[in-house]
Amino acid sequence: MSKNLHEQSSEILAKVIDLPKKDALRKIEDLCEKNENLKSNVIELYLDIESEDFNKDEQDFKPESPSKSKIRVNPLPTKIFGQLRTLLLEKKWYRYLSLSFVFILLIVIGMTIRNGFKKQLLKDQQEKLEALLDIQSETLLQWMQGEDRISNTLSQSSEIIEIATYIDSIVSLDDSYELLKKQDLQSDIFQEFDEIRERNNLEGLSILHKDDPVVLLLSEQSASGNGKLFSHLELAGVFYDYMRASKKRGIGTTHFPPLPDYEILIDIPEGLNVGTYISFSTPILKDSAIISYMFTQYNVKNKFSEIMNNADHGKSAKVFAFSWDMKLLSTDRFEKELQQTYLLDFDSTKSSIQSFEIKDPGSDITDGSEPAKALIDQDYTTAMDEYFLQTEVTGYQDARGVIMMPYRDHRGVEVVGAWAWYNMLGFGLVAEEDAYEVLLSLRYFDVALILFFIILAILILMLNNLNVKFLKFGKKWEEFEKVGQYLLQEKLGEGGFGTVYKAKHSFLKSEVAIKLLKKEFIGTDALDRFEKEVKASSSLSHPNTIRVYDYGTTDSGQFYYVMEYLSGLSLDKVVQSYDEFPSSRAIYILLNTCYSLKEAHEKGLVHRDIKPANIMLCNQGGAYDVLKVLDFGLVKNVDASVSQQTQINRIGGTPMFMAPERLRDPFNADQRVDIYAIGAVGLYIFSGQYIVELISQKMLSGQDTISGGLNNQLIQREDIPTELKNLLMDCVHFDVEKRPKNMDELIIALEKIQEAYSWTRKEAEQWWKSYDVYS
Amino acid sequence: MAKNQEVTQILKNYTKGKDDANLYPMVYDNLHDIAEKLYRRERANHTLQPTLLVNEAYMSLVDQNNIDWKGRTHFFAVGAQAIRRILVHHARNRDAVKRGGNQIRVDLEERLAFSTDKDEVVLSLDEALEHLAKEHERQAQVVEMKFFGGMKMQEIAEELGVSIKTIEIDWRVAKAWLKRFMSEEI
Repeated sequence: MSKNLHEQSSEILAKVIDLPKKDALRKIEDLCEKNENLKSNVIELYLDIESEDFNKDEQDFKPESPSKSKIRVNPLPTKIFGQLRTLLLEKKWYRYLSLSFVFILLIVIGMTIRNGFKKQLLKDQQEKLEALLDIQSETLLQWMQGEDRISNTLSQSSEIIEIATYIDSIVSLDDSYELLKKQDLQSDIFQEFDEIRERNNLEGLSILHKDDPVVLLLSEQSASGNGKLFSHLELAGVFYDYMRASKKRGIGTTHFPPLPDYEILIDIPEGLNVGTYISFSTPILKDSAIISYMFTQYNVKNKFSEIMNNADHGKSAKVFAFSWDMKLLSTDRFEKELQQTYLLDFDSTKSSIQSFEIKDPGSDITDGSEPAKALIDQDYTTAMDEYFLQTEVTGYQDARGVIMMPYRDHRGVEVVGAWAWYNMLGFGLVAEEDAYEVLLSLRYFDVALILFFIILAILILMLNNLNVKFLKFGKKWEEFEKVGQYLLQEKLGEGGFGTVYKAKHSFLKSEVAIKLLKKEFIGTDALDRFEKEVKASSSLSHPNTIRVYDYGTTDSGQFYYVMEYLSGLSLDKVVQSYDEFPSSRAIYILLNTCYSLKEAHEKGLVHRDIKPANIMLCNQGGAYDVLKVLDFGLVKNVDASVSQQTQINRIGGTPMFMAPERLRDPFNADQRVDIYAIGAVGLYIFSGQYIVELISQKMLSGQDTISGGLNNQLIQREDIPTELKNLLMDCVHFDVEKRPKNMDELIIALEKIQEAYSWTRKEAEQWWKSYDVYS
Repeated sequence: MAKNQEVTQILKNYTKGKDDANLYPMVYDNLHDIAEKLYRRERANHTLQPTLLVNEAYMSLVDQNNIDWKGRTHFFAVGAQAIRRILVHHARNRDAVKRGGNQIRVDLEERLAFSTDKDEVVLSLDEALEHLAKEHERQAQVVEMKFFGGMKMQEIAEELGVSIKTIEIDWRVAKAWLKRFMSEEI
């Protein structure tokens, strides 16, 4: 053979280049037979190609590298994501599972935020309650210091000293107090004492014996506003204990915690106001000696409670004072409500001060209902409990606490609160606010959150449905990729009516071509016509006619039909590959086209669009130049029901190869339009130009008219047999009657010419070998 | 006739071999002019791909309204040839000497750019292609068209009248051959 080493190597490489490496090397071994030189050359080249391909494959994963085949760029993350999506969303249960998971996750996040919000809310509340207690205790302290000063000043006034001296003198005369008892309280000196009290705006003023537990003189504001005077009242033990303790602290004003009058006096004389009093005591000095003690007293339900109630705010926030034995010392904010309950014996006049122990009734009693717990079973409220436990431990030291866990107060209403015990003052304070009010904003938050979750749930449900649609989209894509039993692979071409894809049967893996008709045909009656025509053309079985295997509509309603897949060239391309097209091959092509058309015409089908692009030359299983006529009867009769734009196409067919009578009558379906087209194709084969061009060129250059001796000049080549030239000119005759009558006639004529010009198998093979060199 | 129309006319009635003699000088001259202008500017950072150059020549020499794809393909095939010659001449004129010892690696996938440091690449590739042409003419043509003309596989196949599969194999085998040849030669 004349082939050089490299040419031989190239041929061998072409055969193995796409095989797996192992197979390739084995095949190289076989193909090189015993030619060691060739073998080593081939293997060296092969390894180079192979390693480069390998590198290229690796590079293909980098999206930025240019000149890549688009199909290969499938970045790994996308793939993983895609698989994940498929796994999570495509399987029904997995989808529910993953969506529920997302929902639960969002709920958890929502709850976390809610708890954070609640925590912050309670923290703020706690600080507020503590601040409230501090302010209240400070205010009380200042009030008391003010009272201290008043007492101090008063005790040093000459009037008081005078009265004290007078009383002292009486008592010193008779230590059995009989003389004092006999004194006429209406006398001027005693009346002046009452006036002093009134002038100083005091609720109670009294003078106490410097040693004995006896009130020598007491003036009190009566309900009517007039003063009342009492003398010689014996002090109760509790009060006297306080008294002695204060004496030890030395001179100056001391104060007593609020005490009920029965703890101040042993016998309460008729007409004395009952109540709980906060008292201030100041020694009355004469010549630096204590002659007696002056007492000022205030009923806690007045000024003291007023100060407390200043702190009331909102709908339920309240501050009250409580005694060591856990009773109210100031008027409750909700006294009116309490008066409707058993706590104040349903008595609308009874004061809440000192009337009951601060205990948890076990249920809300503000509506007047019975407590859930019997009185005997009731425990102190949590605030009181804490106070009691802590002061027990510390021995009545200052103590305080905050309770943010809602508990029931003495109304049985859930509250949060803070308490403090001020040992110096001898009472404690409690600040409480209804939990409902405190957590109201939390409630709003909860409502918002629940609404949010409801919306979220709806959205997720919708998303779920959306996903279904998403998946349907995916399925549509798949449908697009899968038509009937066939998997679409690549686009082969696109025409005015549809797109042709290469496809594979999903089981047989045999290759087919599928034409998907354009969507605008959906729902038009053109579709019915297509269907009929596909049916008709599928009945054609001549080997020169492309086989139509199947047709149908996709789920999306697109009409498609399945054809034989042809590996070859259109006549167009073959013509271009030649400088001078051999006559024998031209005759071969024309004749085979006629064979195909003969069958069709006999079955009443006219192709009407014969053109080089519709004639394929194939290399089929080693048979070279197998001719196939495509697009049978499928392009015609598209009528006006299709949109304006496509109406242009309704004539159907390529004008360059269209018989002139069809220009006048688009629906002309005479067999002889095909005969004309064959003639035009023949002229095209030899000249590479369209008949219209040929004619116009001749006419423009002033040569013969169509009717004249155009024939020989149309095709200038000398090597073409005259019979063929004449036959072709007959075919393209504008007068239909002068064309060959039918296919049989044309075939007979062509076959006759062919006798002298045969296109051999060998010639065909040679051409194909030079075209597809490595086949 | 204007040059533009002349070239268009030649391309329209193109027959291989016969018309190359007429077409080639015109394409060459035009490309040479464009290239010279570029070289005169001669900035290291100013580079132009030869394929873009051919395109530029095509735009100026051909009446695009009056030509089909076949004509365009012919033009680019001829342009590739011209570009190759221009690059080689330029490199020779600059007395670029192939340095021994240094292995020159040509990445044929990478588009060649006009820059002086590629001179030796151009010269050694030109030489290698001449050798390849003796071994396998079509493969050398494929490389020329693709590398110097920036033509697509389909265009080369149409120009050479063979199947695209043939061209793809030619390209791969030729690359391997050139790689070996150029590394052995040094």
